[in-house]
Amino acid sequence: MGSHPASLPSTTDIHVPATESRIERDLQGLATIWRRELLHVWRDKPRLVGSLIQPLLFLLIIGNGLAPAVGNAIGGIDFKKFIFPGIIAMSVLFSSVFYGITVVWDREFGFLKEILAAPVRRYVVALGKILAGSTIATTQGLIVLMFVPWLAETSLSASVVVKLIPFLFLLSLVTSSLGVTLGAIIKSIQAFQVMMMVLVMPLYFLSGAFFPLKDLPTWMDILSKIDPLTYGVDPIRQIGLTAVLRSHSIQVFAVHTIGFDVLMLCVFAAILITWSITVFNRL
Amino acid sequence: MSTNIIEVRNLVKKYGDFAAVKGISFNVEAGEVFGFLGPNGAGKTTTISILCTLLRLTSGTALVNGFDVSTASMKVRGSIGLIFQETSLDNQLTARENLQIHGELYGVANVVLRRRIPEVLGMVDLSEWSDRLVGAFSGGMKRRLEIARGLLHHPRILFLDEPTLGLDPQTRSHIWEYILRLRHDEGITVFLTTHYMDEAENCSRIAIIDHGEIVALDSPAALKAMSAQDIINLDTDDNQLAAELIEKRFGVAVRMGGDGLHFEVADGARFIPEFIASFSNGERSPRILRISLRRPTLDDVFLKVTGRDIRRQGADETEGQRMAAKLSR
Repeated sequence: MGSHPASLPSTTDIHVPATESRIERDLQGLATIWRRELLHVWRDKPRLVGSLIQPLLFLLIIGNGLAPAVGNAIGGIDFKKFIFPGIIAMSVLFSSVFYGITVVWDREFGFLKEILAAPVRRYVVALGKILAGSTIATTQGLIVLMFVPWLAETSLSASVVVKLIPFLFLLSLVTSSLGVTLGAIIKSIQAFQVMMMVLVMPLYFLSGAFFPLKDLPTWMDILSKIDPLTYGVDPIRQIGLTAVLRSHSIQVFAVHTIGFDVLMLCVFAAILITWSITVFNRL
Repeated sequence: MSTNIIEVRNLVKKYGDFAAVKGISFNVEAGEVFGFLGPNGAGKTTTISILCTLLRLTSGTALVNGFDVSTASMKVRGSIGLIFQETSLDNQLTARENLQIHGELYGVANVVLRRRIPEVLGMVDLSEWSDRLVGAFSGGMKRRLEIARGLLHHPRILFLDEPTLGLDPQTRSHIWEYILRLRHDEGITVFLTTHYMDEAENCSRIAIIDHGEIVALDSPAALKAMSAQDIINLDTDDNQLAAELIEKRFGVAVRMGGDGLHFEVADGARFIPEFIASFSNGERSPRILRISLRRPTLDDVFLKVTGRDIRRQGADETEGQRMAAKLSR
């Protein structure tokens, strides 16, 4: 009577998905990590609302505060209209770099280990995090954009909003890769917050969000050219102001052609994503 | 075909000049509960991390489920379950969501997950808590959920690194009930590390590791047989003198402990009456205050093979680590 002692599962009992290809497995892993991050944001709605307040306050207070002093000095338009694309870029930047802190949290609470020990390739983990950060940042940028007609007293057509989406996403990809990589390198929440201040403010101020990048001192001109945010603010402004300005007026603010901006954003994204994958491979 | 589910040969792990694991070799048979026992810093976690492909080995080979940890890490990972020293759950998600994410990361099909998630939650008695946020769970509940998670994808080996660290004694014994029952129900191999001697008694076989080397490897019974002698604990009104007399008259080594004298004899039950008789009619013998006899435990084995007491050392180091962790905050 071949009665087996406490039957051990044979190899066929194991749910190793032999039929799935490697790409299918990677996509599944990517989707899982992405979904978990979005679930977190959804659960934490106060944080979501809180992070909208800062850009809206900037637009409302700085826009209205400086508008009388600046007058028509910048290309003959209202200052509020000039800075709203910069504020959109700012909300994308803050949201996605700040998103990098979730990596620090995951390390602190141990969940990072669960992900790192899973049979999921590290580049998938890095990309999942980056794509989730980009999704969150783009969404936030769009929400802030909804307030623009009211706060910046300007009109925005649906087609302009749709045209802006890919640019917001491309910029988010750059800034999220930066945030996620820094989150993986920096191990304490305090250090991450200090780094945010040291890095994010210069990135923001040198991007042309607050003033036109014309006739600047050489050092500032150089720094603004290596600031990835410059290539995000520029196309958002050119597209965002099409409704209120004629094309020759837009040329007053345009720093580069939109094509060149896209190229530069892609180059920054490629560099930062590669860096991020390298860092995750070493975790 | 061999029944070894883990095969380790001359495994070495170096951090710079420091060798954390110094060329160890051992096999784990399918279906057994294999324990790695040793004080903190002995190399237990390093070894388990290498077997789970979280750390790269410096030299040697390790096969887990027939897969080489150095060349087939994804296959190793897919076929094992892992329970870490510290919790690794997502506190902002529910128990069910934690399991769902785990299942997806391990490539378990959704149709299987729909059946398997309630099943593993039931195994660890967490069915009623499936839709609660994990952040509200107690330490013992979190551990149980992690055990359920470790089993979710039908691994062939479950690795547990100090599974009961930081839990109170009652919860510890419950966790052990779960581990042993699940091992039986699921028919899997269990590989665990611990520095609790009483837990090691639950293992089929134990490897005692100290300073990165395996100093003994056998079943708990066989290890205890190594120090086959009974242990006598004696307290008198002059222990110094008593020790000298015992060493002279009976030719055994006597250790001085906080609770009196300890020495080993072959047959304690017969020895005691004889001893009391000879001790009381001696001309200048100290008066016996208390005498007791016990069978050897793994503590004694550990003491014998390493020359140190695991409880003292374990406790001291853990305390030191906690202090260091507090200071670094």
